Amino acid sequence: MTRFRFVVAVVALALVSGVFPDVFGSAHAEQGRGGPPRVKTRKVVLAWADTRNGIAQHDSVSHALAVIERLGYESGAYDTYIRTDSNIAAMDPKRTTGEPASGGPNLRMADAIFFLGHRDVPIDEQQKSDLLKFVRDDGKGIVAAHIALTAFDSWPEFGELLGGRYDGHPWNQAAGTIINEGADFPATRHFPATFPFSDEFYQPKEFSRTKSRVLLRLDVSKMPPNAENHSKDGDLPLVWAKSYGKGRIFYSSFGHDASVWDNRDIQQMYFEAIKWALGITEGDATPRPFKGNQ
Amino acid sequence: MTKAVPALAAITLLSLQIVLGAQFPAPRTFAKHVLAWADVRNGYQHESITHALSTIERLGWESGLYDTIIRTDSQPITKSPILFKSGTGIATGEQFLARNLDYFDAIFFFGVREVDLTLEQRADLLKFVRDDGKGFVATHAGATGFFSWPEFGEMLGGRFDEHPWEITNATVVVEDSTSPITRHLPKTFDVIDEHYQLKDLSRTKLHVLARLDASKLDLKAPLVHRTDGDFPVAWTKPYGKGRVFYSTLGHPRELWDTKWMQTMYFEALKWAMTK
Repeated sequence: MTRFRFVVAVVALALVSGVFPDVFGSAHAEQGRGGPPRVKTRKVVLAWADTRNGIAQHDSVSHALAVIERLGYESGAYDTYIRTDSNIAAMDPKRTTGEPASGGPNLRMADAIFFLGHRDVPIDEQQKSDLLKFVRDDGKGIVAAHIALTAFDSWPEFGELLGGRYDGHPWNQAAGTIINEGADFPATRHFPATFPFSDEFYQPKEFSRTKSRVLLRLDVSKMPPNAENHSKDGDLPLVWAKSYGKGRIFYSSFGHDASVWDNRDIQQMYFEAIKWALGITEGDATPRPFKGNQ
Repeated sequence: MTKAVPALAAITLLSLQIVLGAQFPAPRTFAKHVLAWADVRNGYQHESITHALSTIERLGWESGLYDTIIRTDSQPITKSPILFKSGTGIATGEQFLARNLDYFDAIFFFGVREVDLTLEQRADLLKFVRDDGKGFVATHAGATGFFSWPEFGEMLGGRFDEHPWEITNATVVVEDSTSPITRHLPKTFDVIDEHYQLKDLSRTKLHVLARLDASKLDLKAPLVHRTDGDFPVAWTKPYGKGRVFYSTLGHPRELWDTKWMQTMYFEALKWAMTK
């Protein structure tokens, strides 16, 4: 009798503490239609671009999402879920009615996020906490592009996670010279030491070289003077990598026009950044100071 | 003199910017615009949905026929200007640079189950096809969309009624070898898919392009409800001034990589966007 009670107690404890997560996992998955879920054999990237609150929704976002999907699909490096809503950005996603979602992807099974959200992305407090946990505690990655710098303006911790905030694009779409500080980093090692590039270069604010490693920066000395250029020392980071807790963060300013996403060097940069964020490759994100234009 | 210097500097600056700007290639423009819409929030997100959306995007991009906006939310499903909801952020009542239905020539639909639309959005979606004469191309789980909305079934031409055979091989019989959508297909061919049984369909309203060969199906499977052995896999139909295409095919992700499947949906979009 006491032995029976002991067994019951152990089983109950195991259930409560989630020792059998697979039991719950498969039961949950069966709620969904469309057959049993595929056994996860590749890394999973959530390509998330909620632009609903963006004042200037970019037509290029869709092409970017499709390119990111194709790079993972054709290489076999990862499977992608494209979402432009934000219900997915949760450990336990909900339907629009608030009920639990019917299986499908979530932040538990995703390994990295490719993020192209715009301005105040509508997610609740639980989702914000899930998102931080995803990177900081679970050691997952976020690769963010272009307009993502404008996202979550009202959420200070996101700026901390990303490493900077949007501070306009002083030259709009313009030709510039890019300086490569990341010749050893997987996402930027294919770029020469300096190279010409045309894009809508975003200027970051609340950026610190003590927290992020700059990989590419704009050569401000070669740009026409501009009153909206706020960089005092001529430092204008365009691409950086950093850590956030146990996780990896990569941001790149490139990608305003859809055609930028067809550029092979840019594709390689984002593809390698995603692989790095997924932990497939290693790269040194140790911050280092600005040495000026030498 | 003191005034002339800044003015001169400004002019020099401006011309410099114009020169630099001229190096920037103009964005590609497309004559047609497709909204690839797959609001999956209230249903099961099939694994193939993302790959289908990006394949549709690539077919338009590489051919130059159309550009695509991919959305899994339903914000663009309106004919009204898209305004910032008050309290959601930076501006209120401001019109976005956001595309609504008026911008698009066709919708590629891979939504699932009860997609959350307001009554006004539902009305605008019907107007888009029926009154504006635009196209609606739906695939696979699209037939599970909006069960609670009879008019959607009327527009689409049929409703999902289970997949009695789960994922299985079946023989497709092409009924129309002259349609641009199916003329590249052999008379009969085998496809492994999650084949659907459709209900609420009427051959008087549909132009069936292809069906399953019922003689090769297990008609005693528990969920088989049809007694006439009619299992269409692709059809076209008019809806008001607009054009509607639906095909059951599209569950396996890899099927979207086949040339014949890509041709079928690409030609369906082309047909749907023909005024």
